[in-house]
Amino acid sequence: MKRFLFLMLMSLPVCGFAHDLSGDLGEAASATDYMMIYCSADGSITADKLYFQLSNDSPGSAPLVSAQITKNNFATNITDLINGDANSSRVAEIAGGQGAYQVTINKNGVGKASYSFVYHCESNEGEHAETTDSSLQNN
Amino acid sequence: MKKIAHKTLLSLLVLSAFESASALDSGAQNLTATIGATDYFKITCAGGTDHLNFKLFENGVTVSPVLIPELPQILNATLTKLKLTATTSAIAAGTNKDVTLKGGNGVYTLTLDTFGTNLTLKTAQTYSIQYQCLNAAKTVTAGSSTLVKLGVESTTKSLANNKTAKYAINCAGKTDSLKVKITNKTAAVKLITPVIPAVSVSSGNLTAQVIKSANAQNTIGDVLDVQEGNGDYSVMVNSPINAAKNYSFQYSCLNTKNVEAKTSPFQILQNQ
Repeated sequence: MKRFLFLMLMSLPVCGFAHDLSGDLGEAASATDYMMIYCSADGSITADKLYFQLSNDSPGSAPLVSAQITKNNFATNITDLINGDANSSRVAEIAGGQGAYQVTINKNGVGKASYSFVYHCESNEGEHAETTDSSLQNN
Repeated sequence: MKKIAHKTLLSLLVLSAFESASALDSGAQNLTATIGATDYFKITCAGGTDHLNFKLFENGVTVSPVLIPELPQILNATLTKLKLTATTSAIAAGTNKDVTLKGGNGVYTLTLDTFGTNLTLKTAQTYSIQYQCLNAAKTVTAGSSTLVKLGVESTTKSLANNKTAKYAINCAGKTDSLKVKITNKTAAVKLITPVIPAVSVSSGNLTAQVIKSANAQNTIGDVLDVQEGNGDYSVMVNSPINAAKNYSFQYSCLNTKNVEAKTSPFQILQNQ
């Protein structure tokens, strides 16, 4: 079974608004969740980049969870290297401007895994820009 | 700013002969230890593609190439007359065989087919036919066909793989049997020596994602079949632990019968 929670938080002082999403990956090593995050202007605030940070919420024996973010011809990977601890992955800031960012969540082996991540679109000055998302695949 | 580590980019291993004989294209790359390093490719499928077949190999490629045995292009021939049948099978490229049926006077049907041929070979086969109507003493009697005159080798004909062709041959006089010589004039495929990725066991320290439309799949070494038809497939390769890794991969655009459709050489969008 899958879970997707969508929460709007106001926890990041720099940005004002952050988005938090969580999910599970199934048993198969090929299991991949796939979503789009759309960045656009919010009034006078332009969307210059996507902020993204991943947490692996699985127990210690579960496979590592990674996220790949692509836009245009750029791709990057982030991984939370320690399952279930209080620390998240490094922060990825992808300066792809406005438009759709592709996000895939995968793991490095067989076994179920749980994850969550924080994301938002922001301007070069760190102001929160319009951020929406849609799930394309959930397995 | 992060420093981008020195990259070594191996040239593409796509060999045209390899493609035609093995239905697989391949590539080899190095992924650096740069944090977040991701290699990013595009593979374009066309020609009635049903799915992209993709396999990731950790580590590099074998130093010594491995021979892939040649799979044949063959013709099979069957002579029938009423309930009588005679068959000769697997007439390989560059060879000939006879088929004889003892059916007396009358109309015989010669059926040629290319079943059992290596379907990854796209070139149609070529052949010629020569027939003789013979009496019991093996002396030539009389006969005719719209294909060619008795005793004369026909012009070169062609037959695509997995197809059938039929000809009628009429024997007269005191014919006892019909003897047909089938020559497979198809050029024999030469042995090739493609570079095959080394067999390696996945450590889970390298993953690849194949994406098209709303379909995304991940692999740490298992074969992926991403069923999204013709078009561009995106491939990303990365290391969850940011380890420097040599790797290689094989891919092929396949139709619904798992026969190769049109596979383009991959394009590198990002090389880290």
